[in-house]
Amino acid sequence: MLFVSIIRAFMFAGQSFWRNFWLSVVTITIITLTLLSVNSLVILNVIGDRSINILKDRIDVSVYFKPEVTEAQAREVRTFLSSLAQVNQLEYISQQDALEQFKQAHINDSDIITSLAELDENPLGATLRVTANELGDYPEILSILDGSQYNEFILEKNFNNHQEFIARINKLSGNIQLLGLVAIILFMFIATLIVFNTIRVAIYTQRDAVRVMRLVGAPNWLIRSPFLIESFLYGLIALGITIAIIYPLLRTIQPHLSTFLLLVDFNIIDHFNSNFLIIFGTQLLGIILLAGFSSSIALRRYLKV
Amino acid sequence: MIHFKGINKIYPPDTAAVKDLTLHIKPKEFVSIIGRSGAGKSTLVKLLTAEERSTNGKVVVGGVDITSIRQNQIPSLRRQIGVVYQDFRLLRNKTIFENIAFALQVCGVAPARIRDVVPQVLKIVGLPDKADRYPQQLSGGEQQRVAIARALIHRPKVLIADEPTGNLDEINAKEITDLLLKINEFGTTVILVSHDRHVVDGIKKRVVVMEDGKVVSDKRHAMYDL
Repeated sequence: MLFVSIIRAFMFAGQSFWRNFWLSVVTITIITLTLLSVNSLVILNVIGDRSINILKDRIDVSVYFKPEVTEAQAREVRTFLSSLAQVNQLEYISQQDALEQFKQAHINDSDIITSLAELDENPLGATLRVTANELGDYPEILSILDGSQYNEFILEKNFNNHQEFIARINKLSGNIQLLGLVAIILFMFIATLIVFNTIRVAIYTQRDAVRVMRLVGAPNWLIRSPFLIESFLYGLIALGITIAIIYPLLRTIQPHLSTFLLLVDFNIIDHFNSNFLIIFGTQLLGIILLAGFSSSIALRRYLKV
Repeated sequence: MIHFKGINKIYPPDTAAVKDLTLHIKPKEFVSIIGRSGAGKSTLVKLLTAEERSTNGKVVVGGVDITSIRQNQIPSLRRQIGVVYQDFRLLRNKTIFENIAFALQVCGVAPARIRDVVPQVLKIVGLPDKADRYPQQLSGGEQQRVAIARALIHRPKVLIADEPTGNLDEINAKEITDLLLKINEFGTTVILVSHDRHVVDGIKKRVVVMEDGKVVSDKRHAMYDL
């Protein structure tokens, strides 16, 4: 009996959906726009985070030793730096390797290659490339080096400081997120009102049937549930349409991620696929809560059961 | 069967629709309630179906005090009380069969049972061949009989007819009255609220007269006399 009633509740919901078809279309459109704005924010977040992580990985300190510093001395400095808690990774480039890398980098510059060939000795010293645990550790590491006994071995320290750039990206990302959030809240508010109004119209359209249901003693849940089901249906269809729009959109932007954002190894479609349940499951839950809340208020106000 | 004990119903701010009303209706009784407009007859019907709550007093139906009935218990009460109204309240986009079946569908009755019960009820009200018609294809009297059939579908202990002949001519009104009497003979308590003198006089059963929210007369085998 309960199963039969549940089936009937779904049937009544479907009937109401079709009877107010264009209103249903409008409601679904508004909810879809809300979900698209949410997903846009998700995409921006993902891209922003990835970009920032890539930039962070490129930050390092290069310590150039004087040419006369021996390998043993350079390795001593390396051992000293590796003992620091702030240091994550160390890459030692020997004098010979440094020279080879220099030659490779200037292979098309015949003047430099010719000049190098005329030298008897390797003019370059060894190099230590230091990667810290956190961005804030770099100034500390430099300060420790400056104050250490090994400072006399060091010709130069080069800090590839993308920090300012990262800060700018962070700020831009934050602003976009804020705008996105405002858009989402606005759309959610509009969606709540639209669902409320749609259910109100559905109640009005079905008022004769509702009156008869109350008259003949239909259970209250059976009178209310078709309207709730109808509002959930709007959310479900809207989510389906959103997914149908988002994936082609992701396919469109994927090539540009490699080209413009240097996100070479990042596939945003794979990211969405592997987090499908979390991303869209959360949205489904959110939209069901929104639709349920909105339609409950309409039912309480206009249905009076 | 039905007891109204010291019932008062006051609509805000201070309109007293029913004043200190006490009335007892026995099982299987046929009672006509008459009175002028505003006497409180419809309010009495609403109190009985829990559409309204009394300001004070008690309403007992079938031994159950429904005065402070919970919201989720009201549907159960209404399945025990069939009601027909002057305006029939049929669904115009459903056939007669579907109109009556609807009353069972919304209470979770299985399709097979609906297919069995509906024709039986249509036979009782004398419309076995009209199942596939729509309400607008029937006369007023036939539509009211469909409404009665729907009211009977749960086999209620009480049938309330609130001005059932108000939109009908004399002949159709007589048919409806006869049908109500027939239903009463089957053992259902019938409460008829009516302005129609001819209807009440033709029944010759108990007549309760209401005036200004009170019962002013209660006679067995009475006539329409305000």
